Amino acid sequence: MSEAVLEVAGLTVGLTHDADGRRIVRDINVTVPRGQIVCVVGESGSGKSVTAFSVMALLPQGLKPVAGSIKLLGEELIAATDDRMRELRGSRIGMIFQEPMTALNPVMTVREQLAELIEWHSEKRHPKAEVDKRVLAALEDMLLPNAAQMMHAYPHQLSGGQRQRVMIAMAMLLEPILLIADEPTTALDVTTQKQILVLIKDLVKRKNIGVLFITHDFGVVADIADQVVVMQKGVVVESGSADTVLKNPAQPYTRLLIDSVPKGIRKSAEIREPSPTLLEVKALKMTYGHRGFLGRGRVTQAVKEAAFTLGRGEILGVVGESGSGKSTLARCVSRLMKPTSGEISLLGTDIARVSNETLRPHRRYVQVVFQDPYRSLNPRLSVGQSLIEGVVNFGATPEAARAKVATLLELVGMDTQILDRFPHEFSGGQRQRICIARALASEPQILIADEAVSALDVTVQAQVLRLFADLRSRLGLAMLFITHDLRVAGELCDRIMVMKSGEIVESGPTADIFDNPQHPYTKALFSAAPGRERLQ
Amino acid sequence: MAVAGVLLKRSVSVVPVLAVVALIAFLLLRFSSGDPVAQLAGDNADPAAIAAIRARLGLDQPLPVQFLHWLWRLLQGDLGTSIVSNQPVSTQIVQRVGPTLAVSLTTIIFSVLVGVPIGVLAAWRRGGWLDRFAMWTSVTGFAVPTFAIGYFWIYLLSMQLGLFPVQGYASLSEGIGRFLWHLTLPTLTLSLVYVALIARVTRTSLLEVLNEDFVRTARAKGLPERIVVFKHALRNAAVPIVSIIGIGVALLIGGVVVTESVFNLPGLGRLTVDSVLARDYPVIQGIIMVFGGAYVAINLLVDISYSFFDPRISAQ
Repeated sequence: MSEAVLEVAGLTVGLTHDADGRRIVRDINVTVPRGQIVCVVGESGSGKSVTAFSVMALLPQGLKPVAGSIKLLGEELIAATDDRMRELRGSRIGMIFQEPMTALNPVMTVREQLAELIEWHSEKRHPKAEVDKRVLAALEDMLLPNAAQMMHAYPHQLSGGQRQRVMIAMAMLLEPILLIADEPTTALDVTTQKQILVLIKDLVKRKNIGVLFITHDFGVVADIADQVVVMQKGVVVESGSADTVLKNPAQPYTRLLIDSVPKGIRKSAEIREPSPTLLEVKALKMTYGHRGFLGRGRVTQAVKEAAFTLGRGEILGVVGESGSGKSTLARCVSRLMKPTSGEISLLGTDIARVSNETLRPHRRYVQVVFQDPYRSLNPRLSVGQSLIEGVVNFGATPEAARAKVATLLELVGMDTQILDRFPHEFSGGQRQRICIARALASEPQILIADEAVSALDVTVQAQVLRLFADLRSRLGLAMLFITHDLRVAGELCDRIMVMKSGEIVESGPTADIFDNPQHPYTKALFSAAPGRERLQ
Repeated sequence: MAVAGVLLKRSVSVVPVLAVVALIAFLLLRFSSGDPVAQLAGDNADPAAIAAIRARLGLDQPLPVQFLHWLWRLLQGDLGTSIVSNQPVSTQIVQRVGPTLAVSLTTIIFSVLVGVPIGVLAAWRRGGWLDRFAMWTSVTGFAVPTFAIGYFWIYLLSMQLGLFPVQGYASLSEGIGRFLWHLTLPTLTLSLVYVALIARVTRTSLLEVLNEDFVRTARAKGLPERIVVFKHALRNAAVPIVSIIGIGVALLIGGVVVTESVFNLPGLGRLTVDSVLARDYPVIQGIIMVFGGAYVAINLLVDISYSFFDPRISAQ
């Protein structure tokens, strides 16, 4: 094995002020050799990020390493002074983050953000021309097009993939020997994710660096890892070479994580009989921005001429990347937004352009579950208040509402004793169940799930998907399932529509789309799905 | 878009605002109690003399005619003539604007130079002694009325220590030293509340920014902490701080009236008080228009400065 760039041994992190000795992570051992990518995999709360930030000595306030050692090329970092750590950060250890939009400073140009690394990591002043040359070279190295112009751009003027390339260029600018990547592709579209993963792999080969790669997605692991470290609840449960861990996981937890990666294969290929149509959408158009006073002004066509039907008990997947118009479509159908033109026929009534007054009685038939369960529950209302409010809104007495809420909670697999508790006491998956219960309060015919499982850990994601399938068969609920992930859609949906730039480019039964995709874009989505070769 | 173009476009858009200000200023005075003519004529004047004065001043005409007459001259840049002194209003304002402008400028500069660093340090060392002291002081700054602060400074710095003059004003032509020496107490008096305001807003918006991801990135790049705070964080916190400075400048004009009285400065605040007591309509209207114009100009500058601090806000 080649020389170790990073050696973490027996690392234990605890609270700064803590008498009873609570440990956030315990006895972590990770070694990153030169020229290899070591993936630390785990769900939220596993301690994988704490491990990464310990190496940078950038732990959140209140946490500190209490035992163990962290060595960078043999140099002990736990004992290092603040000044020494500052020297190492950015020059010997580069780091990239999950969300490149927020990780870059919005009010500084790309050039400023890269140039300051050169400025603050050397004693002498560098002439502007030389700095420009190095920044330009670093950007070009990340295969950024028009790097010379991009230098003077602000982050908001770049695409998600470009921003992450800028982040990587910044992390690699001073030629570090270790790159720490904290979920660097989680916030990106799958096609972009693929490119960034290829780029990182290529960097490792060309520059012979070590990479500590934090992720929750075994699909990503399968694509890039040389070594795998699996973490759960603050300890390492399994580690080894990627081939061994992926093919023969020793621990049941590892097995569970691998199995939870959506493979896009329907478990039961039941053929559903034709059902009465609940929803029929025709020629739906949504245009943002207004034509200016003299007919100028920018106009975005978020949805162009969408048309589809949804039958009782049917789950229709809408798959697309960011900017495809899938969420706009969902918002129009649920009439959280008024479409520009077209027809939305809900149980025979066209609700596309009617006033809010006329719409009110129809609202109960369509309910929405959103992506982020942390923000879609009012933190100051107890779970009971949130749920009962929904039931009472549709005309139940408070007593009837209480009984109803209990049934709803049972339906989504939650204890009925939780009514007096507040949202922050629950995990992401539990909160999403509560959100689903709330959506079901009005006895809707159609449930719109807008990226409803995207923010959840894979094992939780699998549970919620099962819940949706279960609700469909028990209640005959129809669903519009909006997602960026073709694999997830494949596990749940009867039919799939693929959207790109506001257009439905392909639609059909799930099996047909998976076995025989027609549109080049659908094919691109398939080939970009992480872990395709190694996990199937 | 070029800044000049934006300025022009926005300047045109403030014309209706100023028109409304003019109308309100005019009506407010006409419907308030008191009659300038009666005051001018004195107690023993006979009705014929009063009528003559009224006619001479044009106050016997119907209100719309008076308003349009005034507006027409206003558009030509003529603010009218004082009823009391017979001087052009513009001359009176120009004579008095110096001290007001001087106190306002020194106050706002002082408040920014002191308030922003206090806010930054308080946010950076959140919960530390400096933070607690700064926030305690700022509560005091809000709570104590301006005139009381003024008398406190006079007592402490003038009467006890003899460092600064109790009252009066020296124009810039008398030398910058004397000029600033006279302005010190009024500035300290007026500043306290703005220092408090700016420090608080700076602290709050900086605290928010310090939790952002890009601050973590800046630290991960190995930048020194002062660069992280002052370069990365503060610039992102600038928009709310600049807004509050803008509001501060606007409110300042009100505070100046009190301070000018306490320190006996011959500024616009004093002119306002005198004119109101004499029901000198043209002067009051003129001052309101000048203040209104100043408010609007400050607002415009603040709006335009947003796009300078944050490239995501485009100047339109």
